[in-house]
Amino acid sequence: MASDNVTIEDSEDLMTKLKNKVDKVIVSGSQQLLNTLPREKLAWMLQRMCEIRYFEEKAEDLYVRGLVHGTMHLSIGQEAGSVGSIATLKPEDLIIHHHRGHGHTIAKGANLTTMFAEFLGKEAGYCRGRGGSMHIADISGGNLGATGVVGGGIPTAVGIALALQMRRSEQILLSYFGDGASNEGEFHESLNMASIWKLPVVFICDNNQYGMSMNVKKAMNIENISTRASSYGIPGKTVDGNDVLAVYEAVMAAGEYARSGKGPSLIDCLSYRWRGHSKSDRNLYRTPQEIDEWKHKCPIRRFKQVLLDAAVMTGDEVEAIDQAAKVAIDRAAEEALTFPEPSPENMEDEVYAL
Amino acid sequence: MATEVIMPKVDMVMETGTFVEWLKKENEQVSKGEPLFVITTDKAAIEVEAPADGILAGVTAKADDIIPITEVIGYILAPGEALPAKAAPQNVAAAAAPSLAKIATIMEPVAVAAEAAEPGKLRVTPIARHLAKELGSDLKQITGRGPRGRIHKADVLAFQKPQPSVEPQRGPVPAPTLVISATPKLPARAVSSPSIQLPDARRKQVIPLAGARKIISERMVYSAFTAPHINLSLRVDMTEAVRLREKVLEPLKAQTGQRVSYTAILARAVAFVLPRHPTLNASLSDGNLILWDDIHLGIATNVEENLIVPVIREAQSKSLGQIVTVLADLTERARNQHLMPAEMSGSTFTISNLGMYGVETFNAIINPPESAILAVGKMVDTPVAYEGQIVLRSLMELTACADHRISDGATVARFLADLKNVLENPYLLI
Amino acid sequence: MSTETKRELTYLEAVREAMVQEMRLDKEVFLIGEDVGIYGGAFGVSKGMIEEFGPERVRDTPISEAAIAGAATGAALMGMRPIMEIMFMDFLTISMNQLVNAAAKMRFMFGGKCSIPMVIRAPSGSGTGAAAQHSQSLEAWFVNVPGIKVVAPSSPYDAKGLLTAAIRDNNPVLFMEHKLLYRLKGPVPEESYCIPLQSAEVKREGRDLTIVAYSIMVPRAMEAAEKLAAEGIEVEVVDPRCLKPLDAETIIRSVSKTSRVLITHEAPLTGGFGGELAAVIAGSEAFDYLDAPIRRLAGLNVPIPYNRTLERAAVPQVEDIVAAARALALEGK
Repeated sequence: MASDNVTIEDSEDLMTKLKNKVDKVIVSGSQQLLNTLPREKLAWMLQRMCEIRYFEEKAEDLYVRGLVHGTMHLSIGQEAGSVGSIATLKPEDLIIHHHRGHGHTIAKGANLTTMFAEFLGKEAGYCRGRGGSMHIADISGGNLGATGVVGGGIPTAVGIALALQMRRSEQILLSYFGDGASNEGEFHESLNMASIWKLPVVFICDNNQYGMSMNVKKAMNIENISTRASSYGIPGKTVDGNDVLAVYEAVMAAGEYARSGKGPSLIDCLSYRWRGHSKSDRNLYRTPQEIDEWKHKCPIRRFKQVLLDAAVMTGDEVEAIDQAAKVAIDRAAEEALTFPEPSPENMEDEVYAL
Repeated sequence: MATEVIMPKVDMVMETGTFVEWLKKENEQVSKGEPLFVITTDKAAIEVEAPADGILAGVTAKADDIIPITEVIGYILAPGEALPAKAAPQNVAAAAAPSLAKIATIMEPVAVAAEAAEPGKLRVTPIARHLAKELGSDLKQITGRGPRGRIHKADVLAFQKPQPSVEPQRGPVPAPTLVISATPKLPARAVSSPSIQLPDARRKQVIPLAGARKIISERMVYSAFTAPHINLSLRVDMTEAVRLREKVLEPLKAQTGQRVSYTAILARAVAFVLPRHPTLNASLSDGNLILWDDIHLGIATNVEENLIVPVIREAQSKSLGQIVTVLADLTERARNQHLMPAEMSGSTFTISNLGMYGVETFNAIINPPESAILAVGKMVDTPVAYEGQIVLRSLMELTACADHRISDGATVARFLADLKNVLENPYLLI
Repeated sequence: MSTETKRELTYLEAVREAMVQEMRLDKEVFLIGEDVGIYGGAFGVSKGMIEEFGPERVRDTPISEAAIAGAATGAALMGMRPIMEIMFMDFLTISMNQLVNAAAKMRFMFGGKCSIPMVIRAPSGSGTGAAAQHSQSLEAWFVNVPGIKVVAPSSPYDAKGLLTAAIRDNNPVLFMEHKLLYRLKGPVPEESYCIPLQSAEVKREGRDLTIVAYSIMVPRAMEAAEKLAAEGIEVEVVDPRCLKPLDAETIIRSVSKTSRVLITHEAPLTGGFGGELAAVIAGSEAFDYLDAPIRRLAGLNVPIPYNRTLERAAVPQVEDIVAAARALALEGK
């Protein structure tokens, strides 16, 4: 297991290929970006990450209190992956993601109240209560939805990117999936198809080391998911998924690559989820020590430290951002709880577009 | 799979064998190799052995049957085995046979359930049912030509072809019909009975309640428990009616060839009087009270232990002579069981006479969908006060049993009084 | 239908013409599938199209039915109007996740905030010796998935009009083309026209019984009806054309008129669409007019065999329809 701030490199060959494909030389994230990114951007990133963390914790709290129907898939510990990648996007860029997607949705600029409303199954939710946690979409905000079928968003990503290309658009798409999804047939069909047409998509693996209970090392015969990129002749990179700036750097490069018409890339964000797969997970497949070890690599704590160490922000400013996030989440949840339920009438009329 | 017991070929040129007897009974345990049955061929009587262990079942051969060789005459069932199901009947011409075999598999298998849950329940297609109701035909009288006697539209139409009627029909005359199904719903009270033990007695015969008896039983229950019966009796002095009869006997016999019966006189009197008491010639249907214009008089008749009710149609417009003729005809054909279904149903009022058995007075059960029935007792020479003296007069007790939902006591009493008046002054019938 | 139309096209040509005319009208319509480009389509449906519209809009793909379905779904999500072609209906099994869990459901799951205007074209059916894995009719599966419409035209005229309607429809539409129908010739107007999806057609009027048939079973039923007419049995043939949404009214009206109905399809009997039709009829006012049980004549519950005789025996042929209809007409007579 890698230690805190070292980027996990792939094989030498891949490194060379990558260097040849992009203009900037990739250096371990933090220092460069701290100098080049505007302070507002960095603050934005920190706030989003805090919001995600507080959102997930609040969601958990609501669940424990019996207020949530079904189950949830929490991404506590993986905040850097979604925020670091989405921070690279222009407002008109698009994302498509998965069941552990609260983080992506918040990072893409979702209204927190509307998000809680969907989570609670309310009419005022993003999907009018019809989708729930696993299917949150903010279509007009460029968030083309989460899918509950592992890997199910990847072929659809091919189609979205195909449309972007056929329309000669400047937009790109980020397609998120988990480590388990990279073993689905659809993953391979889709990367292949995207690669032959050089579609403007970045495939991002939110690698939290586990499918449901199967460790990623047991689920495949290779060391790194990013190796699979070579099967399709596209760039592949493994990054420290808990280093928000490292993620930023890698996805920015891949995004430029896509935007320039060179096609897709595969980014493997190595991270870890603190909670079980879903609410029914008893965590029998991993040890408390392992969980603890990764908690020490908490992406938020690390980012705060990086900001302080680089004197980009003061302790008070950091604290203020954190608190603002907490307050926003609490308010949003409180408001969403008061919203009315949807009506079961005329559901069949909603299935087909006129 | 059940083991087949077949007529064996025991001779070289044998094509059939004659069955003599079973050596084991149905449901008896048999052992392989033990003698099971006896047959004769041209030459001799032969004992045939059982081909397997098990229970003998599904036996079809009986003494003197001539059976082709290899034909199955029974089965031996090992534990857990059952008799093979019979093949479904084929209704299609043999010419279509080759692809039929495929049709049988490619087409939806016709669900052949066990016998219908309620034996005797009618099989009727929806359109046939509607048509029968519209035409007022009694489905129970109609023969169905579909599988298992299913009644189709064509069967209802065929049934409706005009029968040779006693009186010319006056345009389309819908017989009175009610929405009474074959198995009427009974009030809860009638349905839940306490558990009653049958007596410990030897049985002479056990007859399943079916056919006409079953129908009568259902209708009686329906009538008794749906219509609250009110029964009013009075005694009619029939002396004048007797005299009338004596006087018209010969002339009417010359006219009609029949003897005037008291039933005919009663029928004439009732038909005369009833129009003045319309609620007694009525039916309740769908929440409406239908007062009938026609009086179709049912004359309850007993034929070989069965109650049938031949109907004198449009009695209100028939003279005594006409009634005599119709009644004689109906009665005779009833006895010979030559009555058409339409002639045995559709009455609006019924007269039941048990006087011939010596019964002086009784209450009858209204014949649904009617609203009243007249129970007639024996004419008895009775000493009564008449014009200040004790004389013997022929008295007959009439009981009018009416549906109290429709007619109150006074109404029924008025009818009886009216009837009494006419019978005691029969010249009013002119 | 225009009676002046003298021009005849094959079913296959009619399908092509619908696509071509729609693609000329709307730049956002495109065809995607295996071998649809220079090869002209596995059955020749898209012949000549890449020459007119170019390789972007007549787009060849690798053998990747899941990705093809995903590509169509995603493009439709973005507002384009893809027509995805799957070489054999049997292979829709590989596309199922995208079609069933994504395309069919996204509109509803996302609270009505998007729509998926895509067409899935697939050759279906048996009779070409293609055997078990290349001969299926899987329409019943899709009828049972809310969110997907299902169309099964039986004639060139219907094919062009219904495909045009399907392309213009704002929902996923499965368009079943029976392989044996490709060669069928029939009158087809030159101009573009739409047949509304939920409209059944009485192909032949009769009074003795109704046959409800779709796809390949329509021409077979029509032939059977001619034979039965010689015996004095007048058969009414009703073609639903669109299985979902279903024009139940036309069917119910017909059965109410004739009192007897035979439902026939090529797909296996058990769990087939005929059961849905039978229930619709039995639960309608047509029930009051029935003079015989509702009968189904469908494929055997077997995978389609290779041998020619076995293949023929596995699905209803003209003579089977004749026998079944005759038996039904004579029930109770």
